[in-house]
Amino acid sequence: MIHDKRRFSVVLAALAVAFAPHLLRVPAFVAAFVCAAWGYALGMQYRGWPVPPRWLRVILALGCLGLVFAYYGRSFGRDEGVALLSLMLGLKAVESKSVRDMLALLFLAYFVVVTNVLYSQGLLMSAYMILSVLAVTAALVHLHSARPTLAPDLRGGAVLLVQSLPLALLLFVFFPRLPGALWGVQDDRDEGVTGFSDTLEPGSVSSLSLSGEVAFRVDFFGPAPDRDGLYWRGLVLDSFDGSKWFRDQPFEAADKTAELPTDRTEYALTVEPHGKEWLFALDLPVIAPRGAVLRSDRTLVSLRLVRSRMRYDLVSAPAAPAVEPAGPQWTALPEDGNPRARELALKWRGEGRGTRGMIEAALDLFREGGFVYSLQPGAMEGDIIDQFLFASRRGYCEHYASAMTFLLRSAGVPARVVVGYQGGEFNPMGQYLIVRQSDAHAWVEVWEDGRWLRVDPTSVVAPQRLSVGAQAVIAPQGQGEAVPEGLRALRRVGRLFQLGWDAANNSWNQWVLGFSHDRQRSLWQRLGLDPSTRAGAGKLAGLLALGLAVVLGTVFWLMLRSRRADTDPVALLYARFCRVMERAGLPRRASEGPVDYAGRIGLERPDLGPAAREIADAYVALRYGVRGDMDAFNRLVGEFIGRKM
Amino acid sequence: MALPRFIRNLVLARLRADLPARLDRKRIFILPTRAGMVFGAFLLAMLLAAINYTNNLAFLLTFILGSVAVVSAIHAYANLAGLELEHGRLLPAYCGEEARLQFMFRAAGRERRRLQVRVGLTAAEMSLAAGEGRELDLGVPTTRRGRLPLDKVVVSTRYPLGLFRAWSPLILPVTGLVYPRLLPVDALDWHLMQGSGEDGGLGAVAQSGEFGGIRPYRPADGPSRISWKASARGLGLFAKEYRSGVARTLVFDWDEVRASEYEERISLLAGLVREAERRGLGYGLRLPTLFIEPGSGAAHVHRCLEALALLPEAA
Repeated sequence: MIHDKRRFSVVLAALAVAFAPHLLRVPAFVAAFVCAAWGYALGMQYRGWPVPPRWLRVILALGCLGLVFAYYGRSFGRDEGVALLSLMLGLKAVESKSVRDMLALLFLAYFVVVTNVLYSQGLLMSAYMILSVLAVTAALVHLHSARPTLAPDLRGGAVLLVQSLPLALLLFVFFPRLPGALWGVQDDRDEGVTGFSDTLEPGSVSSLSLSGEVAFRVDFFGPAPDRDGLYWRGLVLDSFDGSKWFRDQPFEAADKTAELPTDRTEYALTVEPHGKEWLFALDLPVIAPRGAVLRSDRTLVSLRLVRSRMRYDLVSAPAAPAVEPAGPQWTALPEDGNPRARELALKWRGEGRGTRGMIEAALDLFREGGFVYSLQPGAMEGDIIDQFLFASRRGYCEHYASAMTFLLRSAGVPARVVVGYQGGEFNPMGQYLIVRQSDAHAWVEVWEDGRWLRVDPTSVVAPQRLSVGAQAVIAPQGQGEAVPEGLRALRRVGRLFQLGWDAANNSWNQWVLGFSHDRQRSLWQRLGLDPSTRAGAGKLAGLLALGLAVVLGTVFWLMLRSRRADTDPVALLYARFCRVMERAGLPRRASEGPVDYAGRIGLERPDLGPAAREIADAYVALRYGVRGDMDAFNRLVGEFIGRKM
Repeated sequence: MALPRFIRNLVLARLRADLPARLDRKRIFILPTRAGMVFGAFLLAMLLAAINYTNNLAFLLTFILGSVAVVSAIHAYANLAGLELEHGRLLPAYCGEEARLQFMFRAAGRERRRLQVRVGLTAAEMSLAAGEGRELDLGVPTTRRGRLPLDKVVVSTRYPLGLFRAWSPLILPVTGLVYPRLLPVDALDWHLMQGSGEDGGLGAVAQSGEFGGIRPYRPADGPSRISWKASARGLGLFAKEYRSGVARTLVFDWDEVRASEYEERISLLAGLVREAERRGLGYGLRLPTLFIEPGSGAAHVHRCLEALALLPEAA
């Protein structure tokens, strides 16, 4: 019985490890119920608390079910499933008595581990999941080993897991991936995703500026462009309603341009899921990747909402041909509002400036008009452009982009707002660029000379924004001098560590999580295998069979090889004696005990008989007797081996 | 199951083993347990979910769990493979009592966990350290006298995860002997038999059965002969020896036993043999087809009881 208590505690501990990540995700009453049920189950084992009667368990189960449905309403998704699973985990623990119950509990625990996938697939969580699998496996071993201690079973579980990893990897690489889902997937993983929206108003970009979350990562296949050329185009907004910019005109697909410009940049971009359809590309994308469309305003849109991490190959060129020529919509503004800005624009126009001159005038205004680049511009209402230009003069990139576009349009110059990201951090650990939410940016495009010209008003207000990044620009003042050298060095190390961690995560994302149908295909093709041809498929199957044979054969060999009883000096010494006799032509028979063997030696080799008998007696005394003498045995065997045969 | 006879014979021939026997791949079978099948269904569901959501982490976890299961099957196999059954013997027992079945297992090479040894309806469990030898003692129920062929012995294990059961059936050339069922001998029987002794009379009985010293115990001595006092010194078991040289001898005659039925007669004779041995007398047996000269001692008891055990069934 004591044994059973121990085993039950081990099973419960494994459950706790598996359940821990869910503890804060499930509603509080579920977490409380699970903990209470486990506590009671332990009490049943150690304190002899009574098993709750069947009717009570049924009522509890129905009550929990009712609570979950009351809590979540009638929809059934990930959270509801996990909550129910957790309740089952609690109830089942209370009624577990037999080994079979505990087995069922541990299977449930495996299942709980797998449900973590629905919440997080990061490197850390994945590592924790493997750890949980180890805990549950060790508990299973403990349930079946009847060992009094846990340590050897923990080792046994680890051995099982380590031996199974090569096979799992082989299956992972070779198991065919499908390009899409088997049946409809209802996905509810959109909550809490940061990223900008498809409108621009004061605060919509600056609210992102403190988020260190990764928006996307970029692998350049050639040299990367300079940092201040890293404009990541997201959306083009054409309309203003007095408070916000938005897209009004429907998008059109871009004309297919056949030839690639020579001055081009090739790269692969891996975008984090944001739940919307737009994709990002370096100014200006030339061709659309698979599964996406290139629109006439040179923005990319995915055919499916970006709900999982997506990697796509892109080509961009700064001098991509002009499309979507200027029309009346690019100078449209609301009928009234912001009279001072309109007045200023008309004044510039009256001065006879061309488009170029107009742009210069606006930039001069920002440069010399006492404007400040700030995260806290203060609330604005009503004529927000006027307030910004003539009163507060404090703003983030969206204020400048918005105000400049407004000024230009007021003067009749076609202009539009582009939102996206600017810059990024190059990660030397993984040789790729990280673009974070804090790199979100807005700039202006102006129609000039038959093409759209990119103008970034922020660059004149805060030039470092382009070269260093927003974070550095808006960092609290006076920090540079106050921080001692040691602390700064520590920060640099921390930063390096952070970059290394991001590189590890990126590799995990690219190679494990992002191992898609396409990547599998390209891997096979790189190995010279094309599964669509008969020969290629045959070779692939052969390779897989060979891999399986090697992997499983190794496990077999590892498990079946004899471990020498090298921890037992008596057996070792006796084995040496037997080897000597074997060489002398008298091997010990399988059925022979040491005494019989010595007797036979005495018959066949009378000269060795007495010594062999002594060794046998010493061996038997050590093994089965009360007073064995290890030293004497050692000496006897030593002398025997030393003698001339 | 009604397997065709020749297939059955083929299978049985494969399972036949000589002692010492070694479990190897020819006689180790492995199949998933019920829990293993549930686990398999659960893996399949996970795989389908992973395919549908094209979720690579789910794929990875599914493959890890599946591989753990496959590897656990290899572990279960290795837990049995190479196990040696060095000897096995079935000790004689009186009908109705349990016959002791003694095995000597040795874990060659590796540690063995949770091996179950089952014979008929009785089973025992053991775990062995690497290289360790272990005596296993099982009780086999007996229902009729005569030769007792050993049932199929099945060594099995579910270690390490309980998802697979590896088992190895062995048909061993071990046969036991079941003595006749003992009938209590009452005073009248005893009296009658003494009267029919070789030289008649009752006088000399008391002379025998005197304590004659001790000697090392032999398994055939029977527990009642153990000298606990002598054995308590920890140098092995010793048995009491009784002087019986001058004892009078009796011959138990088939025809003179007070019994109405054939089997009853045999049982009564067995009871008399044991009673006489217990009293340290010399005794012989006269059976319809066989005469056993008077004598005494463990070997003699065995000879008499064996003769009785092997008597043909009643016509």
